[in-house]
Parts: sequence; structure tokens; C-alpha cells
Amino acid sequence: MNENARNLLRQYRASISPEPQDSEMAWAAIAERVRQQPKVERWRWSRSSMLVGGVVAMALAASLLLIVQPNELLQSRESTATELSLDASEREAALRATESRHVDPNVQTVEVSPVEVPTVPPPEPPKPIEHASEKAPTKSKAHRSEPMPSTPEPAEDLLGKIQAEGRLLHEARAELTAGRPRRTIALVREHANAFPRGTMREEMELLEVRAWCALGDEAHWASARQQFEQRHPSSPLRAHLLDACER
Amino acid sequence: MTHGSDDRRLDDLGLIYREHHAFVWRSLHHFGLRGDEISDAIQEVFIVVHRKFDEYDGHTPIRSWLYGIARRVGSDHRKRGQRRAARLQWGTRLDENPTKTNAFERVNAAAMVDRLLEVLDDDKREVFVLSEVEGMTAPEIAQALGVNLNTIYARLRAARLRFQRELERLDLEDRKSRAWTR
Repeated sequence: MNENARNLLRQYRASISPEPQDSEMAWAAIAERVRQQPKVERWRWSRSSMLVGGVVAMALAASLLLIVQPNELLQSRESTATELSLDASEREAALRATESRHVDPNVQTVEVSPVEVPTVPPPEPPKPIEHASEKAPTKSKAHRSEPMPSTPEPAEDLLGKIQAEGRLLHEARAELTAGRPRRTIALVREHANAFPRGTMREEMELLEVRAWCALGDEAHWASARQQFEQRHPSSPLRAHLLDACER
Repeated sequence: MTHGSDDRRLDDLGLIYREHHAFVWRSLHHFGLRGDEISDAIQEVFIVVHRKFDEYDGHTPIRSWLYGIARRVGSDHRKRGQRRAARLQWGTRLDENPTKTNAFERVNAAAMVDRLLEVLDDDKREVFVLSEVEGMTAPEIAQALGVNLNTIYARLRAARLRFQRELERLDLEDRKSRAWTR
């Protein structure tokens, strides 16, 4: 390849490299995300411990049921046994009746009377079961009503503002790179209206200086540059003012 | 993981970032991402780097390793349907009224190189960019792409020829159009 092509590629490399502000913003976001990561892991741990806690609670509830249920089982076994004995006595009576081929009403009343035993009102449901079933939902409701851990609102607001400013900055820079400096100037104005005390004012104003330069409008360029110097006399970006047009 | 080791890892990540973020940024540009897409993607790349620190063997050149990660992240971004906006803007960019500043010339150069790169096949373009724009050696490129070294040399040779030819053709067209407008 000839020298012309190599020069072109050098310019290309410079033009697609990140601006220092882009690099700093990206790094700030990366560092923040990395710092958040252990917290997320811890939160995951707390979630899993909550899950384990839930399982343990369920196991306890189940064991309570097992403790309580034998009474019920005993009662049901007793009633089953009564029914079985009644069945047996009925069968016996029927057999006897068949054998004798006599229909004796006295025998029937004597045999039938025990059948009335199961008609006794069923025992009240055991209370502990009610307790167990009541307590569980109360717990889960209480847990659900707990607010999710969240960052304080002002910090979110600030982050949102910075992100919105960052988006405008990127857009303005992209427009300038794409050869649309007028659009860049419009975005700078938009930023100034939306964020009069924004954190990226200096970057935006520097972009405006560059945009006037790209338009070849020397009067506006000089005015924008002078305004920048007056507004931000100690800005580290002042060094870039010359780069904005004269490199 | 203790907080001390967290901090150390972040410091290490900071060192890698300072040294190589411009390379990763440009790589994401080569994968077709633009503007905010690059800002988002570069965060993802370095989050992955942070997560995969322990997997880096130290034998592979760091830029080859980073390129592999950037490639996957860039590909994911494209799959998510994020458009390659800059490519669509080429026509308008080059036809707009140029101001005679060096800054504009650089922008114009970028658009021109993007156009020239577009005529290359994907595999040749990738090798060409890594070699001619990023200054990577052929063995580094071979490791980054997982391709045989001879294949890299062959692709690079072909890409250089094509790039030079296209550049000359564009230059000729430009001269003709200037002569026509005089």
C-alpha cells in the first residue's frame, strides 16, 4: 500500500478512537457496575437463604401436621372399627336370618340400634391444624409486604439526569462526527435548556465551539470560544479549545 | 470474595481498561456499532473481562483475548437488532458541503475508509483492520480469530490489494468530478 493509503488509515484510526470524555464516562459506569456486583451476589444469597427458610418452615408445618393428625387418625380408625364391627354383626344377623328363614323384627331392632352410633356428630376439627394453616399465610403476607431494597430516590434522580445528559452529549458528538454541526448546536441548546446546571455543560459547550468551526462560521466560533473561556476559566477542557478548530 | 480482593480486581481492570479501551472501542466500531451502542457495548466487554479474569491464561496476547470478547459482545448487540446507523449515513456525509478544516478532513477520511472497507469480504476486512488500523501482528490476529497463520497472510495480502485498488478508483472519480465542476 502506498503512503496515501497509510495516511488515510492513520486519520481513520484517530477519528474512530474514543474522546477522553467518552472513555471516562464509560469507565465510571463500568466501575459502578463492578462495585454493584458483590451486592447482587449477596442479595442472591439472601434470596436463597429465604428459600431455605421457607422450606424449613414448610417442613415444620408438615411435622406439626404429623403430630396432630394421629388424633384424627385414631378417631377415624375407631369409627372405621365400629363400622367394621357393625358390618360383621349385620352379616351375622343376616346369616342367622337366612339360616332360620324367619323374619324377626326384634332381632332387626337389636341389630340395627348400634348402627346409630356413627350418627353422633363428628368430632371438632383439631385446633393445632387450624393454627398451622393460619400462621403460614400470615407469614408469607408479612414477607410480601416488606419493601424491596432500593437505592435512595435522590441518587436515582441524579443518575437519571447524568444518563440523560450523557445521551445528549453522545448524540451531539455523533451528529458532529456525521457532519451535521447544525444539529449538534441544536442539541447543545436543548441541553442548556433542559439542564441549566448540568454536569456536562463544559463538554457540550466545547462541542458547540467545534460545531461552529465545522460550519466555518468564524464569528460564532470566536464568540462561543470566548464565552467558554469566561464561563469556565479553570476548566481542564480549555486545552481542547484550540484543538476544536486549529488542529 | 473479600472487599480487598474486590478492590484489587477493580484496580487490575482499570489498568487493562486504560491500556486497551481505545482498541476495544475501535473494534466495536469495526463490528458495526456506533455512538451510544459502543458506549453500552464497551461496558459489557469490560464487565465480562472482570468476570473472566481467572480464565485468562496469560499465554494469549491480551489484545487477542479482548478482541474475542469484544467480538462476541458486538455480535450480540447486532443480533439485538441495533442498526448500523453510520453505514446508512455515508451518502449524506460525503455529499455534504465540506469545510476546509482538518477536523472535517478526518471525519471525511473516516467515512471514506468505512466505504472502502465495505467492499472487502467480512473475513478479509477483519484481518485488514486488525493489521493496518490496529497494528496487530499476524500471529496475534491468528490467535484472536482462531485461524491458521497462512490464511491470515493470504487474507491480508488480498485485502491490501483490493483496498489500494478501490482507493485509486475513488481518487480517480473524485478528480473527474472536480474537473467536471470547474
